[in-house]
Amino acid sequence: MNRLKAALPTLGLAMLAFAGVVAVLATGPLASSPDALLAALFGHGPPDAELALALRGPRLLAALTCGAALAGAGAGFQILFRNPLAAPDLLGVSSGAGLGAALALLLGAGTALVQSSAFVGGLAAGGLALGCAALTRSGDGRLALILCGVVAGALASAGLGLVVIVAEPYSQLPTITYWLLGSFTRATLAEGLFALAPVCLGAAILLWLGFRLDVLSLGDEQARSLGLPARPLRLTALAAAALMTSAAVALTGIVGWIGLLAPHAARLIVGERAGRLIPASMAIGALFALVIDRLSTGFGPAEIPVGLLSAAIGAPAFLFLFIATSRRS
Amino acid sequence: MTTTRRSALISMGGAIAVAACTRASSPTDNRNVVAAGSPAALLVWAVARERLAGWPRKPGPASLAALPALAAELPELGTLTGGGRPAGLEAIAALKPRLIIDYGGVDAGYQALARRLEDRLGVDWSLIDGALTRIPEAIRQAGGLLESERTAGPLAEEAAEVLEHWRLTPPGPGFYYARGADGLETGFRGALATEVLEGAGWTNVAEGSRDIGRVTREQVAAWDPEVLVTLDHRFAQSVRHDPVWRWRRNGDRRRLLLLPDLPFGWVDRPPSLNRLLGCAWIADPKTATLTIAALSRRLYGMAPAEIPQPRWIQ
Amino acid sequence: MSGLRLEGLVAGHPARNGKGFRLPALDQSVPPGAIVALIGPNGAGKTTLLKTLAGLLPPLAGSITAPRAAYLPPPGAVEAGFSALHVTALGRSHLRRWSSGLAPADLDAARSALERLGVGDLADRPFDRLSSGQQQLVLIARLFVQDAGLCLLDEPLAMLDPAHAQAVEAAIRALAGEGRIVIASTHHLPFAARADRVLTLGTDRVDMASPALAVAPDRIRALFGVQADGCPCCGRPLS
Repeated sequence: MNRLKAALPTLGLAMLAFAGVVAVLATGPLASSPDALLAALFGHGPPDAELALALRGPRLLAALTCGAALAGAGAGFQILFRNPLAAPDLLGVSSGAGLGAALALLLGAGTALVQSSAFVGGLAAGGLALGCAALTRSGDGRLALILCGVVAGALASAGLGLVVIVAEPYSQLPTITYWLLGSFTRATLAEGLFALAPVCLGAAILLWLGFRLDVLSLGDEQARSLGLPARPLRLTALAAAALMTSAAVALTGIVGWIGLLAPHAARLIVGERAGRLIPASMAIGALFALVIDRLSTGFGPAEIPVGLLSAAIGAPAFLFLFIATSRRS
Repeated sequence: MTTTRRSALISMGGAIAVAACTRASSPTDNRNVVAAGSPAALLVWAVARERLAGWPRKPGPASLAALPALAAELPELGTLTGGGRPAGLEAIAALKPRLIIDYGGVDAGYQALARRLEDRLGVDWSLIDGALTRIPEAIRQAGGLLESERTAGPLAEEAAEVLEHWRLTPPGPGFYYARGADGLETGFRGALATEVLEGAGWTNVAEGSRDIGRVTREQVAAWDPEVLVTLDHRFAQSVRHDPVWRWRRNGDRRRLLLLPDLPFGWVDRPPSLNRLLGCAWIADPKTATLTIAALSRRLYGMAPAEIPQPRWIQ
Repeated sequence: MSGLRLEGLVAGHPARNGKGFRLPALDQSVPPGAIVALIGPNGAGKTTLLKTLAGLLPPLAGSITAPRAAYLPPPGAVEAGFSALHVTALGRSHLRRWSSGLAPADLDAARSALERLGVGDLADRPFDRLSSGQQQLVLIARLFVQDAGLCLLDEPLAMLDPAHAQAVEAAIRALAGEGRIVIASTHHLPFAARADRVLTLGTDRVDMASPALAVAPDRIRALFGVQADGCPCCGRPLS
């Protein structure tokens, strides 16, 4: 009985996620009846429905990947930094990825190259932050990491500003701007799967680390006293989170607030343990992404960039959660 | 030699030297017109290119290759209005321009901006209406300002003729204008970017919003246009064999029209005289070649052999 | 469980910018099952010595031969939002180097350790909602689960009310009773008086002696500079 009670939140999330998936696949401008779509799922539906699925499928994949990756990375960062305001962009990864993409767009590259460039840019920024922080040998280095991350992010943002000035205003600049604001509809199925690989790898690492993250959250001294190598584990966790964030931003552009909001909501449901917090955050993040995906294309033909929506909804939601939980305790 | 003869020789030598210097520097002296933005730059280039002080935004190498050598010599000054790298006001003032021309929107906002910059720079500022249908008047006005009526006159007449034919074009297919490398940015019905196509009777399928906006592939598929129009050859290449873009609802193959981009786009970038070429072609695709050749030569100074053609991509 | 051997151990911080400090060299042996109380004025280096023995700080000279060590910081230093049971079960982390999670056996061991110390009912409560005394008992339960041969406790009785202080002292005895060496720094002289040995850290000397000698009033006056007929921190008589 106790086990069933413990599993209820996860079951509930899973059901909501399923409903969200169906909602995305079943609605869109290419109106298709449910049975047509169902037939198309199994390969023999009318061409309209097939086309609709061929377009909505990658969008769904992009939304789920982005939401889960950013939420998982956010949860990891919040545990590692012992700070509920830690977000996936802490190491400057999002800014670095944005710079990578903008540079590729400036040089006129195709979408695959833009995605790779963004991925590399994000990892470079994160690596820069980690490397610089490693040079300072101060205790568990949380402050050093945050500062180096801020610096890496600021450098990337400055570079981005430069790119924006130099870009051709009629064709390049709008493309860069829209890329940065985030979209789930850009990516093809192949690109989505390419991004899914590092996200799964990063998530697997974080999930395997599980209880070790709990130990790390007690502090370096405690971690070593309990027999765990604190520095390598922390580095691994940070690298995994940076990997997930970079892949997500490379796929969909910069979608903020999911990484901050989802772990908070998850914490209310499943508690603080990393082994439960990370999967729950990823589920909630994916759900949130589905919601803003619906909103992004639900109001007329022009697509509202999902980065704007995630901020417009995520920030107030976060504030609400924060006030509600602080009232409680 | 007596003193008088020597001084006469010296002064003659001096006069010849001064005359030589003046002649050598008069071409640059003449470059005293600054264009506030790319549309104005095109206007000045067409009407009196030797007076253009510099490009607000220097065209890319491919475009420069399609223009006379003078284009590559002109420096990049930055823009005073519109997007792009902003010009340093002091650098502009240091050029001591006689006239600044802005070509484009003329509503109250732009006029206020014009007055403000005119005060700051202390240079005469002319704001010319950039509407497509008023191009002949714009050309004549520029000709008067730039003291280049001999060039402006015939150009304005040709432009008027092109626009006349353009207005009388029979209705055309439904189209989607794909902007940018991924083609998901478009001009909605009534936008400046698609004016050439819409004015010629083609139907813009993109509706429901204003001006420029971003859409999804599914939305394009739902609109089901007959023709995809683009200036971007990369987009054309990438969707050439993509069934999502090429197949229509009824199973037909969607036509893909790649309009030339060099030295400047035929319909959109920038919104200036370059659009006349699009108007000329769309009025009568089959027999427009001569008109386009002549127009290109007048507008840009290009030899006929170099003029690009629109392509229907299979 | 094996014993502790220190040979010429010099604990301290290496000199940086001319500031550093060294403790006098230690040559000691402690048999398994012994409770050693570490006393000395504030700033004498008790925490440094404990951390060096735990392997968290490198010694400046000499060697330590010791079984696996565990270090417990002063009360209030450990913050955790998850349950007391999970905190306790994390004591088995050293055994789970490559597995993806703690085993059910770890949870069982944690639960029985908590119950043994009388805090079994706190198992599912969040750790940071417990009182200092309760947290300390949970952390000592973790020491049981960790099964380290050398337990180093930094001021384990600080800020505890008498009831919890008694419980913690009893738990420490139980730890030692199973063959572990327990070295606990303290200002609580009655506890030192009841230990097996007392290690005294003076400003320039360190020695190990029996409690009777170490907490004699004249020694205390020399060490702390105060007259103490009773325990300086709680006033109770010393023996």
